[in-house]
This record gives sequence, C-alpha cells and structure tokens, in this order.
Amino acid sequence: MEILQITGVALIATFLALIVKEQKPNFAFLLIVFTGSAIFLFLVDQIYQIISMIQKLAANAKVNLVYVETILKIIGIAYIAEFAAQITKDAGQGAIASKIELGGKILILAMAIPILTVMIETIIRLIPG
Amino acid sequence: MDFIKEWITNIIIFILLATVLDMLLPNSSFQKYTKIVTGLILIAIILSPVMKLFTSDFESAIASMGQFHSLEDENIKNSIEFQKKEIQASQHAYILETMAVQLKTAAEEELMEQQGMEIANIELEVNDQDQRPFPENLEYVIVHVKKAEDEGETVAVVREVEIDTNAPLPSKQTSQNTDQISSLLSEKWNVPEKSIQIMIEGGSDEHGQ
Repeated sequence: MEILQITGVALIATFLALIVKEQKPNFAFLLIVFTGSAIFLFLVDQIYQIISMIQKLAANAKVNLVYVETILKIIGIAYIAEFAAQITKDAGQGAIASKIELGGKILILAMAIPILTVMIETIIRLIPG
Repeated sequence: MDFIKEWITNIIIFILLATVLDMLLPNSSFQKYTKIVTGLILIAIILSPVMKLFTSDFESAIASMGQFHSLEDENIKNSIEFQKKEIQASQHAYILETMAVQLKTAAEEELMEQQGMEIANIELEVNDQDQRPFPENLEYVIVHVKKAEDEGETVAVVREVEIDTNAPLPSKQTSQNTDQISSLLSEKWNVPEKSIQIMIEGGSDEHGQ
C-alpha cells in the first residue's frame, strides 16, 4: 500500500515540522522541502510504469510510434516542470516556479511547430494559385 | 485496405492515449497547451492521407517532431563530417602508397633480371564513383619504368604502363619489350594480362645498347 507510505511520511514530516518550527524555523522549512522531493521521487516510479504500459500497448498495436513518442514527451515535460515548480513554490520562490511553468508550456508548444508548418504548407498548396 | 486499417488504428489509439494524457496531467495550468498540441497531432493523423498526397516531406516533418536542433548542433555535425572526410582521405592515400611499395618490391627483382629495367614510380588510380572496397575499385596502375642504373648511364627513360581493369584500350605502341614487361607484371600482381595496356612515352631507345 503505497498510499499509506506516502501519507505516513507526509504526516510525520508535518508534525515534526510543527514541533521544530518553534526552535529552528529554518530546519522546519528544509524538512518540508525535502519531504516534498522524496514524495515526488516515490511517484516517479509509478509514472514510469504507466508510461511503459502505454509504450507496450502502442508497440503491440503497430501504430506509428512517432505520435506516441510525442505524447510521452509531453507527459514527461509536464510532470518534470510540475514537480520542479511545486518544490520551488514550497521553498517560497513563487517567481522561479512561474518561470519553470512558463518554460514547460513553451516547450510543449514548440513540439507542434513541425506539424503546423506541414499543415500550413499543405493548405497553401491546396489553394489554387 | 491495409492502409485504411493502419490509418484507423492510428486514430483510435491516439485518441485513447490523448485521454490518458489528459487524466495523467498534473494540474490545469498545462492542460490548455497540451490540448492544443494533441489536437494538432490528431488533425495531422486524420489528414495524413491528404498530406502524403500534397507534401513530399510529410514523413520527415512528422519524424522531426519534438526534436529541437540548434545551429550549434549543425556546426558540430558539419565539422565532424569534415574531419571524417579528412581522416578517410589520408588513410586512403596511405593505403595506396603502401600498396604501391608492395607492388614494387614484388616485381622489382625479376624485372631487373629479365629486362634490365627498374621501376621508378608506381601510381595507383582509384575510381571514386565505385562503391566497392579498395582492391576492386582500382582503375589503373601507372608504372614508370626506367633503365637500371648499373649500366653506367643515367638514362631516365620513363614509361607509362597502364593496367586498365575495366576495358582493354587500344594500345598505341607495342613491342616485344613491353609485352614481356606486361606479362611479367601481370603474373606478379595477379592482373589478367589481356587487361594490361602498356603505353610508352618517348620509347625509341627502349631496348638499350
């Protein structure tokens, strides 16, 4: 039961942080950041399983792997950006977190550029000149 | 029929994967953007038969999806390619040189004994358009023959011996001497004699005194 492990670690960290906060606010803060990172690391394993499942399905269905790869890349970018943004937000750096999110969005959009160019070219050729 | 089947499975699987992606996505801040991209890809898949008709490089454009290559990468690639070519050229020259040396040593003694000639220089010409590996794509061998110097004179009669492995050329000047040399060389170098052509330049005094 992974959910029990996650919640257990999170609750213990919360109580410890509350206790330590009165003595050493810095350490409490660091403890929270590290716990968040640890939970994310724990989740990465599960995400990997989901992604490998999708890859296996796509390979079995004999579909064009390019589309599947693009989708997996989008998932990867979204998750990495999300984790990093959350950790930076926990650390109280909202500005950097928003920059990370912006970077993720732009990289996801950049994937669509080749498709867009091909479509636009096709449309231009379809129009009788 | 096969094509249609593949096309439809592509569409279906992609839609399923797109829904999984929507479920997997962490929060709503990314969803707008991923929806745009997945929608575009879906349109591309649905229109792919039309695209293949009207654009030549549809496949390559799809394949380059999600790969960001910068100018720097191109430069590095170019420089690597250039260095590869240089290395290959130098190796090529080295191979030709060593081969020429080996040919010379193989035929030197007998040529000296039988004809009183010595090989001054051997040039190997390779056909660059030929895709086969080195020994097969040899075009011709130019052998510069001169009289042996131990006869007490420094005559530098230079002959060009052309060995054409592709087609026999009409020989301009043949003599007993060149026939003997060519037969000797063909025996030594395993080149069929009928494809050996010997051209003599300024060869009026070829028989020696």
